[in-house]
Amino acid sequence: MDNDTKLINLALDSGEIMLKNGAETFRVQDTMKRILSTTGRDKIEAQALSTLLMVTLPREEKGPLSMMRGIHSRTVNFHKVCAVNNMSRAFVSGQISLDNALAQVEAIRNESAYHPFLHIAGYGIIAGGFSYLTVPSILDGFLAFLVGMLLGVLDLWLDSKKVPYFFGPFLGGVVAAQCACWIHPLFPTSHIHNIIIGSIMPLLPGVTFSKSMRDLLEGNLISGYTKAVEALVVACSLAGGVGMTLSYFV
Amino acid sequence: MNEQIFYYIVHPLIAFVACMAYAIVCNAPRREIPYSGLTAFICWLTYQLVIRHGGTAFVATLLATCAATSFARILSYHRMLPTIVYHIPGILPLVPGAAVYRCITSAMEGGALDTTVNILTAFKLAGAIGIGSVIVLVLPQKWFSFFPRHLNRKDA
Amino acid sequence: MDYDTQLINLALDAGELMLASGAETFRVQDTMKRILSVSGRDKIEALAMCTLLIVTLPREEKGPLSMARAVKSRDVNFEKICAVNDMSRAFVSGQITVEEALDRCHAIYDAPNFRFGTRALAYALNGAGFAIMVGGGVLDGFVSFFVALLMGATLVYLSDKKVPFFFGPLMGGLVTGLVACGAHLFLPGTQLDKMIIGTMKALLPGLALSKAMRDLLEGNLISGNSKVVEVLLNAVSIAGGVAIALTIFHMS
Repeated sequence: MDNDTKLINLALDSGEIMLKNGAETFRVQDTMKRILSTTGRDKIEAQALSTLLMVTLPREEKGPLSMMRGIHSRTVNFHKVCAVNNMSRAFVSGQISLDNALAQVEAIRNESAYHPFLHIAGYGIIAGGFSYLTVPSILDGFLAFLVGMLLGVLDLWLDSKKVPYFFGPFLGGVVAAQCACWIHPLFPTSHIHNIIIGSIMPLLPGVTFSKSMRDLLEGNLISGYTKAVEALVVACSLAGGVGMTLSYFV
Repeated sequence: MNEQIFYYIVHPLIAFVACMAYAIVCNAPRREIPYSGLTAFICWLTYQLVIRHGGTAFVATLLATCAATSFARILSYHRMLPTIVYHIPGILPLVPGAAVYRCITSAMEGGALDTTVNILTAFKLAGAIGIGSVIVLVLPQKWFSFFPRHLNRKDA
Repeated sequence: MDYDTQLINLALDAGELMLASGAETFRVQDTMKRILSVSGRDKIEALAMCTLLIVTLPREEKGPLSMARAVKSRDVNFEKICAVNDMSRAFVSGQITVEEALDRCHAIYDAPNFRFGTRALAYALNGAGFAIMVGGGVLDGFVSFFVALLMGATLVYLSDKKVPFFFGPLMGGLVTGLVACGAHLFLPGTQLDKMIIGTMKALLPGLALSKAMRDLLEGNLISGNSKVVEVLLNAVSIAGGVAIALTIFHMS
């Protein structure tokens, strides 16, 4: 591979990791453009459209070089976003070479997440905390904590499976509502509503929605619009899961 | 007095812990987790201050988002990392979970008017988060650069 | 640069100018395709998606050539659209070479707009006229003239600045609301709603809405969809600006 091809690959790899792990469209485009701008050429272009990356590097001698890449899975992993960010800073300021940067990106791609226990406990604490913030009742908070942990386990389990992206929230909604309805008779002073409100908190597409608003208002209309639809689909499947289960019990 | 302590200290502290947990779920870098929680603390404190002084939920959400986003941008400059690392856990307490849940229950119990009102409420709150973030995010960077850069970071 | 690269650059430059000046998606794609078809090759492709242009020119010998370009600014400038149209006609019919065509593109890109005062005055006359047309009296039209003058000055001033696209309508709505409310305070004989409606007419995204509908009906779905969202955001921004002004006015 010649240098230009390597550079365009580096830009796409960095963009792919960032977009996959929940960075905003603006930042993905900015990082890719910065990487490409090290060639010093004019009219470089880097676009990120929700599930598609597109990069153009005009070369005077041999005609423009363009490449695309589709993004198939979307999770949230800020550690990888930060790592790619630091890598691109170092590359643009000339501290590391192109080959070195490519190797670093490959290493970042394979980095592992937090320990599963921490992940599960995280889900539990979010659920318990927000249940308590909505209605200050310690019993409900504790029960939401337990349900949240279960949702964390479910999330980890689904991560290893190939399921459509809306299936996680749907199943999460079903499980949260089922658990709440089964636990409630054991603790008659608890409230089904508070438990469910807390435990669906980590599943809600609030992040997607706020990112979509941001994209829209920044003028990235296509990706903003698709993200808004994604948030709507996720919210509806979550609501469908909860509603289906509740209508069965109530 | 007791109630004030509860809403202005205990509540934000719970948000602090819960959002640190969210930062773990989002795989934030280890050193940044307390900062993400701090953003949520400020966010929920602002929300409570506005709500307890007669503000509506919309205004409170808007102002709390502005506060959290400003703080996230200051931190982002200071720590030299993307804004979202602090911003997204920071605004999590404002996500209208209860409003969405009310949409579900009202849709089940069959009141079309109730459902519409609840859906609109959820959208209004979500929109407040979006507008609040963007208003702060489009401000020039130098307004948030007064905190010096943390240059001797080892894991850079 | 070889001929193919120049051609693809010309197509993108022309497309960018047209899209940034408010041409319809259909016309942008058509112009780019015509320019590319000069090469005489099959299966050329030119796509325009609201903020993105993509062009592909298949070459038998050296593999296909593709290029993308993002279009950031979205103005309305019919003069530029006409100029690009003339240029592409002349190029396709062989009257000018690629180099000349590229030069003309650059000249069009840098072509001056109307002067600041002229543009603000146009907004002012528009506002005054519509205020009377929606049922205001002569006094309303007279006051609207000044309200719209200030609003136009704000818009023209903001159009050169690097601000998010919703900021212009928001500030326009805010200025309209504030000035109209202020004027109403001193001249109670004026009708507040007529002045605001008349002045706001020039801000409303009517052109964008009709373009969005046309795109949707012609089958350019991505472009049409995102334009509908853009129109919605613009309208909400104007409404937000006016609402803030009215809230301030009613509070005091």
